[in-house]
Amino acid sequence: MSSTDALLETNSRGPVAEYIRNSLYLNAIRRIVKEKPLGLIGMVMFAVFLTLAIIGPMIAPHDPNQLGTGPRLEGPQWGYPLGTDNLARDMWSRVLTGYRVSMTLGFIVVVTSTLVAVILGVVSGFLGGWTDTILQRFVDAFIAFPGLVFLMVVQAIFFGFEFPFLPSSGIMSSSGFTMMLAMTLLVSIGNSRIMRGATLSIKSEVYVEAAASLGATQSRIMLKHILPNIMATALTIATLNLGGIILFEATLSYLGLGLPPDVPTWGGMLSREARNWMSQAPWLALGPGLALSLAIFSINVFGDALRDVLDPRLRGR
Amino acid sequence: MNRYVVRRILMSVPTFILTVLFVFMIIRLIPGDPVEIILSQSPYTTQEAKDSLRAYYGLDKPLYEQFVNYLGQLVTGDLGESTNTESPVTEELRSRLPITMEFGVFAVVIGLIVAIPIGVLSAIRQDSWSDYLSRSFAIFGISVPYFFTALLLIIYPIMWFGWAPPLRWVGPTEDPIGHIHYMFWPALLLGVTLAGSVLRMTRNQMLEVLRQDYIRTAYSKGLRERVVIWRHALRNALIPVITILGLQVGIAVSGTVVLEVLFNMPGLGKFFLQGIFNRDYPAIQGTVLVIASFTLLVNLFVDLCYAWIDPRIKYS
Repeated sequence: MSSTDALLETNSRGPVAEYIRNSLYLNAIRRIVKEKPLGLIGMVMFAVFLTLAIIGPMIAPHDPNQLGTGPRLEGPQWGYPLGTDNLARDMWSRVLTGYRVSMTLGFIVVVTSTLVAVILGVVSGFLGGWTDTILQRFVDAFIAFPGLVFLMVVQAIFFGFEFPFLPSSGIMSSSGFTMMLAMTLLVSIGNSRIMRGATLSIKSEVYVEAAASLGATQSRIMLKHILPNIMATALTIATLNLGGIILFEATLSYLGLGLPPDVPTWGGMLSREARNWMSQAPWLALGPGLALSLAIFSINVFGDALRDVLDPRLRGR
Repeated sequence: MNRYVVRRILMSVPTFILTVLFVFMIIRLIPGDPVEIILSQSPYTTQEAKDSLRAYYGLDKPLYEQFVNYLGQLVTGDLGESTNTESPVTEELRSRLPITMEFGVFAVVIGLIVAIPIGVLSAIRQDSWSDYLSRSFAIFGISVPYFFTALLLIIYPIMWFGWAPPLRWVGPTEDPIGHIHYMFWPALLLGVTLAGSVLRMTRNQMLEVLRQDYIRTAYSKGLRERVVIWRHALRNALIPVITILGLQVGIAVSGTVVLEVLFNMPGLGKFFLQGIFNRDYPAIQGTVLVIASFTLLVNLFVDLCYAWIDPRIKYS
């Protein structure tokens, strides 16, 4: 246990703790820079991809959906570094825009699912008893279910259905919405088990007992004592999940069950363009495939390093 | 031992019931009128057809009655009729399940054959070039999606060498060698994905075990390195690796769905995806039920194996 951890354990409230906690993540990043060369590479790549997600569509030379911006089905050349597809769209612009699509979707699902996981985990772990038993049987059933199959089933239930309150295209279209909802459910329920474990270990700490004996209410203990102390675990899991979520989206879009065709997503590009035109245009698979692989690689490597410095107990999960 | 086994088996009962409930709900959760939607793809859209379908699913009865009826059908092995192929779903599943099973087992075997020796080597020669190389391979397996490597395998060798993996289904009875050749490539792609996390787990566990006192004792007894590694270290290191294998089942199942479609394999996964696009809900329900029960069984088996190999589990 590092000295920061020790300080946090004894002093989980007040401005001092606040200061230490804020610097906990800074410390983690500092340690990755110093001790984890591979993690550092992942972190830098991840930062680049995040930047691309923000500025990608702005620096894209062409509109990713504009038909006929270039020649049709031509290989990499000056002006079109990744070639053009069957609708004469510029692949480089499409791949660049794909960063925003994947990262936006990934971040939305990571944030919502981590929130739900923390709430479920803390409530289940802290309250214990019947609430815990019943919740955990649901979690068991869910964990045993293959993730992709669950997502496919949800998409099958809502196949072709349009929610009247959602736009008909884009990430927030009906199929995108149900996909994100299903992913949130899938990821959060799986993670709630880990958050429950973290809650249980904090719950048995002396300072929680002390707070309880001073008359602190259950909700106060959960919010002021448990929650701050499981944040490192939550952050680590969130990072590790991001890669999985992006991969899920790509797989679903690849199968034609993800985002609608007007959204330039890597998975969609791999099936709609690359697979259908592979003999005429073999280069179409490279851009989106490499972008996807590198994004997942960077997140995995960075997440692993983050886990090693923030919460090594999660190793092997 | 017996108490643990009984407890573990009992624990999977509520899980199974919840799974059946979920599969039962698939049709009932469709927004709007499920009968209209199921029939929207079929040429028979008369009022008569609608009424008979509604009666078939019992959608006009209260929900609990529907569920009891559904359980009754399940017990008799009746999973309904595929609205697409118009044959009983049970029959479709019976002919397709062995194919998917073979594919999955083939992939897991390849994954283990690749992962365990490399993982051990990586741990023995920690921080050497072979270690870095094998760790990069593991990260590659985890990061690069199999549908991308599959596309690369299908696209490029034909351009460069005039060779392509077989994409036409070859049955095991018509041409056994051709069948193995056909199965090998998708199994290899999925196997590499599975190998990634198994390799990392094997390496981490080996590193931990190699630092234990009993390994030092084994060495100081004068045992050869090979004996120490394979008999003493690996056996203990493999215990947590089995858990990872349990977790991999979900990934393997997902992988079979995607790769079956790409390689035109007439397995469960292809049936499932076709079911979704044709709104063939009996097919979807049947496939999901089989996949989920199978995953449950494997997880149960893994947990029991785990207890059998590591006696400490039973007493916790």
